[in-house]
Amino acid sequence: MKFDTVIIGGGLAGLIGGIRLSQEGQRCVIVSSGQSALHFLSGSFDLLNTLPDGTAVTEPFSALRKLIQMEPDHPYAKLGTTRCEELARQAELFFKQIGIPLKGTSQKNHYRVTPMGALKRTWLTVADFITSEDSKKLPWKEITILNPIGFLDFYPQFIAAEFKKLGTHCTIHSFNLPDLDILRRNPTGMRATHIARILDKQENVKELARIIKEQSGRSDTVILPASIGLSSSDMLRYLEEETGKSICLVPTLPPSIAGIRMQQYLCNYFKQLGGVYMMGDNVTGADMEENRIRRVYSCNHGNIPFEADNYILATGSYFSRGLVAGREKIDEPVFNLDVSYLKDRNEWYTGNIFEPQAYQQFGVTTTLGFEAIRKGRTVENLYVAGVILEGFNPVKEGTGGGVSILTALHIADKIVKEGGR
Amino acid sequence: MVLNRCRKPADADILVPGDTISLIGTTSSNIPYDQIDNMMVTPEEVDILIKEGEKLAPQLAYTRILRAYAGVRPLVAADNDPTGRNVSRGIVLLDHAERDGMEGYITITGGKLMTYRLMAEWATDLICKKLNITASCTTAEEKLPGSRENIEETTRKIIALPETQRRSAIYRHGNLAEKLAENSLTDTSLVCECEEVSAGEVKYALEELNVKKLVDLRRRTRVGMGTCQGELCACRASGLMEEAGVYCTKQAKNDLSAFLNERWKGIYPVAWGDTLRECEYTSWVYESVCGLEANPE
Repeated sequence: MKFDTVIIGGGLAGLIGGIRLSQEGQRCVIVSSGQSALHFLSGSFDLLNTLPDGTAVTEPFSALRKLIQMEPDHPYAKLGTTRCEELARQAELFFKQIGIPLKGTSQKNHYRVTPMGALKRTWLTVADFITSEDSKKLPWKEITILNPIGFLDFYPQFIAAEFKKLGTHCTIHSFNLPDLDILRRNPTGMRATHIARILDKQENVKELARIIKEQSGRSDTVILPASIGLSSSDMLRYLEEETGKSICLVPTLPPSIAGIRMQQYLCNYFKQLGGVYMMGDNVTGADMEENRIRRVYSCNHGNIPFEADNYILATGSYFSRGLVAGREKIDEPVFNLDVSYLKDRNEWYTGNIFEPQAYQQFGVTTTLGFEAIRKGRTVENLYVAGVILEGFNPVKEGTGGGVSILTALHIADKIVKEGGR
Repeated sequence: MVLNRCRKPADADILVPGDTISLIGTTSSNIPYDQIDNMMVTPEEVDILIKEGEKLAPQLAYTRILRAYAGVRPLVAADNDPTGRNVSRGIVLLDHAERDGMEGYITITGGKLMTYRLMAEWATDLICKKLNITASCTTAEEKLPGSRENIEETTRKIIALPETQRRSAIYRHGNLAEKLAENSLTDTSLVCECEEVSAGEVKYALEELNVKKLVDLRRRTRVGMGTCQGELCACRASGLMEEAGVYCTKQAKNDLSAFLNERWKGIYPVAWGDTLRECEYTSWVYESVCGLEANPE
């Protein structure tokens, strides 16, 4: 099978890289093992929230220089401040053009609301989700929170307690629909995705509109847990029209409706552009000649190889098995690329789970141009994108989404400019 | 089934089933008194247990390890054995009247949880002797709560519960599992998938088993002790505890943070392979998605 570019990994970085290259007329394949971090998306993408020394970041661009000084191997350091800014703006345009409505701008972080009611700085938030420009005060006096009875992955009191501190009063109501009892017969039935499949049904949306009208009293804004709108946000628009209220979502514990919808949308978009998406397949090995990848092999395709001019490795970190930790070392299992990590396992962690953990910073070493390095030598046509990269802490810095999006766009640009070689 | 090296007590010579998991142990070292609240598992200890444990059960090399723990056991001293390996694990009952001329003062020590009722018997027998009470101790004959009724009878009473929940509840609570007989459909919803702990079981523990914190709930129900070590169940349970009025939302978040750190203490000494995958996922869920902090307030 011949392609212009083979992308290994179907998460955020892989999909964005694939779409960008396809937009430029490249023929691409994405080989995806299955679920990615997108399935646990908070509903927002972070660009940069916090510097490694704990300083809060309000304006990501003005903090980039400091970040790069503190973390010289950071993917943002490899891009440089100017290129980061360019790419962040390009990303905002990219989502808009492909039809994903997101709130926020790279000029200034806004706040998303977490399932525990905390306000966290972020870059872009899926349009249906509740956000605030201010962390000290919310733009609502009165909010109604509705939750399906027995949904344990969303606890409205956590949100109400935090909102109260900011001067917003929340009234909480639980509701039921006969169809939800079908879910309850299964002890793991009441999870966000299952509930969304029930709430998304037309007759249930109508009933929900009636419940909202009945329960929301004086509130202009109604919060629902993100367990509705799995396929599109049409039903939210319908609810708003029917009730005359503004309907906002707050994320739940995983699985993430926003993330699954995003993944499906990006995947369909990629396919519509002519991309080939191979779901449930794993790249197992490669033939190399003179520091270039000639072809790669996959589980499902056995001895039928994938051949391409360029390859992008976007297999994620430990969770997605882009990195595999043994007792003594960290491996990149597809190409056996060079990985930067501390040799002594004792240094991988600290005793406090809320402190930065060194293991989160480990990743694949690359050149300044994100080319992979194997046994100290550059692999010229293999690029590395996303959270598999070394030198940053996505959780502590709030850079996971940003690094995935920016590196994918950057690499795609680079491949296009260099004409596929 | 217990696998034992059948040699003189040494590191990693026993593989024992315990509840839903198996345990490889032990190592033994002497802890200075000022460090007894500061127990840590070192990578060296973990490596010894796996290396030696593989000789006992080669499968151990490929087995997912959930956590490692260390605890302090008060043993009665022998001065010439620094590791404590050869000190008797037996029960020691000291009558200080005979030993030191201190009337009305006894010490019961050594032993372990397995022998606590026997220790209680020895201690009370001695006290009774001193008080000239001749009644004999009944602890060995008396059935503990949960074991006072036929399990088939209990199974019959809660037959409407999903099978895995029913079996787990009976395993944990014996005939007291009958308290779950009136569980509604909402109550059968699982809080903890790994250990099959239902919302109804959590409510029972909150109402009747003196649960004040997540660690109490864990000891009563195994919430957070399964493969995922508290990934989603801890958050669900803390919500249920707030709802039941055990504590307020602020205390709930503090308790959740403390609980996650208590789990982490046992996870990180073995955090490689799938265990590290799980750690990364947990940090995404709690720190990124939920925005939970070490001390939320």
